[in-house]
Amino acid sequence: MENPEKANEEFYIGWQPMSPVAQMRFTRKISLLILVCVLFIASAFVYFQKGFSSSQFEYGDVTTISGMLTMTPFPMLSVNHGMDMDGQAVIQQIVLVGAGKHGAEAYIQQVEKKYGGQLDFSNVTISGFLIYHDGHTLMEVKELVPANPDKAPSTIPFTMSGEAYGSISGEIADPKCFFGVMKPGFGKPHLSCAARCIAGGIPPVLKSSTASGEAHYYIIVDHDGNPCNYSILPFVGDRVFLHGRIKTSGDWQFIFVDDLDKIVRVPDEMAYEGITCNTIQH
Amino acid sequence: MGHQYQVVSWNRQKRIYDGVVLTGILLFFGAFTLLQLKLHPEITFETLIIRATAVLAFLMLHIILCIGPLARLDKRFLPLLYNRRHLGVIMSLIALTHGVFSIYQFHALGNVNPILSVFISNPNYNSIGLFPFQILGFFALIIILIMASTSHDFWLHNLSPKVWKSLHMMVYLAYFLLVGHVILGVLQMEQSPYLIGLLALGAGIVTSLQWSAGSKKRNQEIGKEQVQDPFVKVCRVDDIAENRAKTVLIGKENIAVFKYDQKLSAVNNLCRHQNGPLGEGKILDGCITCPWHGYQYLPHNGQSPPPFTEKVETYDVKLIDGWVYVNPTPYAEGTPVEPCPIHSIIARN
Repeated sequence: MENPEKANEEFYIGWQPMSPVAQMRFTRKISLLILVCVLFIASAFVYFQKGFSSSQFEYGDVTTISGMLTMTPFPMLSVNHGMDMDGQAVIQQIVLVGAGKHGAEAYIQQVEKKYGGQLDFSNVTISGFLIYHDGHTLMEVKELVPANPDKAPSTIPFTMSGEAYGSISGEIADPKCFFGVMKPGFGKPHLSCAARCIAGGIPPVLKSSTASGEAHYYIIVDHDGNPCNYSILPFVGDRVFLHGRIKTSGDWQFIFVDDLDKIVRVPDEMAYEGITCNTIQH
Repeated sequence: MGHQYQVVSWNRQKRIYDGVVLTGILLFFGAFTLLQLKLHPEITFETLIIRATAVLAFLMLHIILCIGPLARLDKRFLPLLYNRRHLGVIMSLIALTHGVFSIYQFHALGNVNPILSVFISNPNYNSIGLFPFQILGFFALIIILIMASTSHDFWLHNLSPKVWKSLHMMVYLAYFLLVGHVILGVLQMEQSPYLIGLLALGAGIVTSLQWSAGSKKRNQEIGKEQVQDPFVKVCRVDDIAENRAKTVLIGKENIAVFKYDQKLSAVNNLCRHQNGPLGEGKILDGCITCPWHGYQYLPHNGQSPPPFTEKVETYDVKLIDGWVYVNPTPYAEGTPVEPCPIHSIIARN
């Protein structure tokens, strides 16, 4: 690789102040080549990586909303946006979550203790940071204040309708990260975070994509409509089939899983896209 | 080369080296950030930091692993080797940033300790596709931090070169763990054939360079047919350039036979500093000078000139009919051995 005679002429010693001239020229060229490679790798990684969703987390930007609080199966705020053109009430359900990887329940229980009463089905005013994407909204609760009962705004309480039965496949994700806090907030790199969020009380969500890429989201509860976070923890971040009743409340859908002991993983050979929410029987 | 410990003994070449490294880091972060904001303005600050530090640290580790074999194959790469530990320490800080941000982002603010969360949040240890890849990165980071914190000559001296070298050979384990961390982690999501190709290219370059450098070392081993007890035939005396050496591996003895001033002397080939290949060095000012970091030894006794105290083993050398022979039984470190004169043999030939 090298001419022995030439090698004998020059010898590099790092502790000497100057490098031999030919050596210095070579080192300069190699350094330049490495810097070009560094720029290439940086550019290539960014260029070839997947993009990120347009989900939003308005961290630091406090929004205050009034509505009716419901505590089961998970804390949610029902907000009345008036009537649509058909005279139907427009109700938005905002899923409430706590700070970090926690649900909102513990904080709301503290508020209930402070005010000395249950807040379920009460009108409240909540300040926090909005999280929203794909037509769904969550809020990280910063402060919750019960409304004055005499001046409570009228609203429609949390109800569920449109029951169907189906078998849905998709990835179990935590909605706080998926709908805005993290990008990406799903998939293998995010699996552990999703497990911590769901273990912390954030409602688990099944994200199911149709063949055309349209996504549907289902909050997962057990057969009786109770939280089942710990039962599904082994499947978080994984692709599964869930079977059960499907109900709608405002802009959220819920799946009441028939049997949590019979959750089936989607086989690896099945592509992620194209798995659809199917066989829904009305 | 210094005879007392300093945090960093700076010189002009070191400053240039570090300047180039810092320029590369700034260029990387600048290009990575600007392109992300241009192509993917939705990216969060945390993801930007996690990805930038991950790619940069992994890239720097590739460069670090390539420098050693490149310097063995072509001496012109030696300037990159001389301050390689600076590169290693900077890489470890970047890797630490990646680790801290990742653990905070994915494991902190939950209902268990973040470090414990790394091990328990994803329990799919029996699955390849779902394997908790973070633990691979976690252990790789621990190895890298141990290496960075023991990179100073203080630790080299106190741990002994053999232990220190063994400890720092764990960089290959760290690299192996990191390849798994990348394959079972981000590449499970990204799945771009180009990104997979880049990883394969990097691993291929590192592996082939290490193999080539290893082959060069293996080729120096002397076969049994060349043994003439107790001396072993090494080479023709003319095959050794003036002030240079021929290296041989006889059993476990790694020996460098130097030719200088019409004399031959043999010393152990491993520098007492970082086990650098003395035989690839040169005799300067009457001293064998290690190509890696410039440590020096007198050829006839294997001792560093005062005030330095390093010593290497010495060996008997003889010339028969223009052939160089060496006795692979070493003398104790620093033992003077009468150099073998060349002129009389050449005259006889």
